[in-house]
Amino acid sequence: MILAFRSYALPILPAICSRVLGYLPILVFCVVAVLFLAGTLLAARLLRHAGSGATDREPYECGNEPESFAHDHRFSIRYYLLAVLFVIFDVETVFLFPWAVMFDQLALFGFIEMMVFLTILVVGYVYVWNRGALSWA
Amino acid sequence: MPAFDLREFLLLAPEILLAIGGLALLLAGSVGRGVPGRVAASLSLFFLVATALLVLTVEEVGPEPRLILGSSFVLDGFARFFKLVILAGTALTVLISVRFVDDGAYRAGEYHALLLLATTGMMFMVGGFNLVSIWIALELMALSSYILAGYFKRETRSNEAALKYFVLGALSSAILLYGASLLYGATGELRLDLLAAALPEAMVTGRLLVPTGWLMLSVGLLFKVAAVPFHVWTPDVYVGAPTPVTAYLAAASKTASFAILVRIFVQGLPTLLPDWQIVIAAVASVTMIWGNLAALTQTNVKRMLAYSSIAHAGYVLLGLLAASVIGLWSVAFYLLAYTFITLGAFAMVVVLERREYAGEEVSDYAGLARRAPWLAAAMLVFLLALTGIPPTGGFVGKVYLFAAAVEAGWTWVAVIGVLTSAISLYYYFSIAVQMYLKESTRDTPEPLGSPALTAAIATCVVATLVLGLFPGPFIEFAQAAGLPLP
Amino acid sequence: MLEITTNHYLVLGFILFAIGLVGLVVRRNLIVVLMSIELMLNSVNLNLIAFSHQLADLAGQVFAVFTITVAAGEAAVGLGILLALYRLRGTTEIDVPSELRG
Repeated sequence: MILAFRSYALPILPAICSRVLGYLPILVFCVVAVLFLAGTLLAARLLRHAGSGATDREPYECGNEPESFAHDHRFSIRYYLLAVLFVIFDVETVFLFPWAVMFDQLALFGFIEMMVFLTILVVGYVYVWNRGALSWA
Repeated sequence: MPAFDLREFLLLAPEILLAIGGLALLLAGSVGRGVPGRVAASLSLFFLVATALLVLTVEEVGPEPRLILGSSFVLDGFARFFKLVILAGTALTVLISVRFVDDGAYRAGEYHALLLLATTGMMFMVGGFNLVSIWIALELMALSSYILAGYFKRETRSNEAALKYFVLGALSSAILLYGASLLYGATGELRLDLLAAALPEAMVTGRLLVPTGWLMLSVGLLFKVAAVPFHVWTPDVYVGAPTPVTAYLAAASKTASFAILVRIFVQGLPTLLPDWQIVIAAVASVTMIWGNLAALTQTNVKRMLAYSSIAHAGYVLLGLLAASVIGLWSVAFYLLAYTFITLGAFAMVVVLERREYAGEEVSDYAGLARRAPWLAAAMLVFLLALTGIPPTGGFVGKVYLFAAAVEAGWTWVAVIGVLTSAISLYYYFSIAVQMYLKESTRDTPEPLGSPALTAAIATCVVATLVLGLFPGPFIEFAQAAGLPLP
Repeated sequence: MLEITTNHYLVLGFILFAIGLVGLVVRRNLIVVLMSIELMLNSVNLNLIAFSHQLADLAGQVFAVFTITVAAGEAAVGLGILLALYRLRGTTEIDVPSELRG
């Protein structure tokens, strides 16, 4: 085992070393990044005001007792659902713009591509509709 | 303006058919009360088989790789081989899912639609020849598998698996993407072959871009194949996800990720070969050691198989490390064998598993040989294959992987592989000891089979044994999957 | 007058990426984690656009458009998992006692 290691590994060791040296900047970079982060967190810990507890956590510390917390007024989960659907369908249409601009040059190929793309979007839309994600009631 | 040929779409017919199948199942599953589990499973099996036939007929592979659609995709023996392996893995996953999906009271159409779409993503991945197309295909696979892992959405364990998989998967793909953007900046190319051609010059001009870029790219890829130290997500996700999904992640998803790892390293970064060999050697050794040592202490079979899957990623990396002709085809052959072995082992977990996670402990296998001799024998075959003992495909695959590493001068890594395989004997055979030498108690779960499960297990056993006894034709098949080496 | 070069964008991109990375590792609220992931993907977009401009090559911008789309899909899947978590546990914190060992 040791013999094998010697005969295989030793000749390539100098090559490995010179190769590894090329990555030294990345190591330095990582070390600096970690030190910076640790330093910032440490400084924040040393400098910050030691909290006294309950009142620190209230939304406003200006004398008025808050009647309720913002968390208590939850938004209906449907808003999330609609927002997600909007984001997806909205972002997907990004691909329509290049097509619209280059319509005449993309010709038949572009047209077919776009129809395929829109068909897939419509499949998604029909799915969402069937599963009742669009009905508010 | 590059000219596109509409006929090139015909060459993508297998992927297109599979995507149509996925979308059709999604639509059918959303109407009314959805499609019954068995119908959905039969449909998805039909689409998988039809796709495999199309891969065999439509995608003619010449001696030269053929680039299609503005060189986004490539048709070569490598892509074809892995597409077929992935399709086989997915078909077996469908078979072992039947009872699970029926039990769960969730929509079966969605499950199978996601499975087919993830598989479409994998097929595009292994055929991708451009960092953009590879990345999008990878995301298609990843996003579908996050949802699959959380498919039992009313069970905490499944939800937690999805959550961990999502957060760490998104992290890894962001890192991978950042690396890709740096490589693009250094070379100005996204196509793998042009990237490779531009690298030597870029290493001189863009000093820090190239090393940082490829290192981050590798971190992202090693995350996906679950190599140590990027494996932290694996045990929890594998244990928490529904067992068929776990099997799918361990077999098909891992195979596809290995395929792009090999393609990107060999075709995109050949200039950096000595550099990435060092990284792969280190990662492979730690992966084999840690995967096997951690598996030793596990009493939950799913978790043990998760660590075993990590360890096996280490063995496969040996072939890439060798970066030789034999190394690359032994990677292909091993992934083929591993697909059947690991799916078979997880199918056995499904047989004993009950709701509320009963039947997952090693002690639940006690006395199985008396109660169900055939199932116990099948499990024994899978355990032999996982350890790498003849006459199984696992043995042949491991021998070639180790031989490739030794031939390329990486003897010490191969020695670690052999030693850790010996360690793995201990934990794999703790299951065999339970099955053959222990008596069952009243709490031991009865094995609960179904025709589909039996078919899946039988296929896996036969494939494992055939790959071990008559490996010749399959080795030739794997040799056709070679990539041109630098 | 300071001239803004590609390097400035790269440094900005790196800082955004690092903020996202730290946020993802340190914060325990899944919504913040999702925002961190978006931040990391957007820093990549910044890189891609800067390189695309420097190299006078359109491919980078096309890549960025695809990244934006995939990021939207990722956010949707993440929010879906978040909703399932909220329905199960009534919280969006991810370090509540877990069933799975680390």
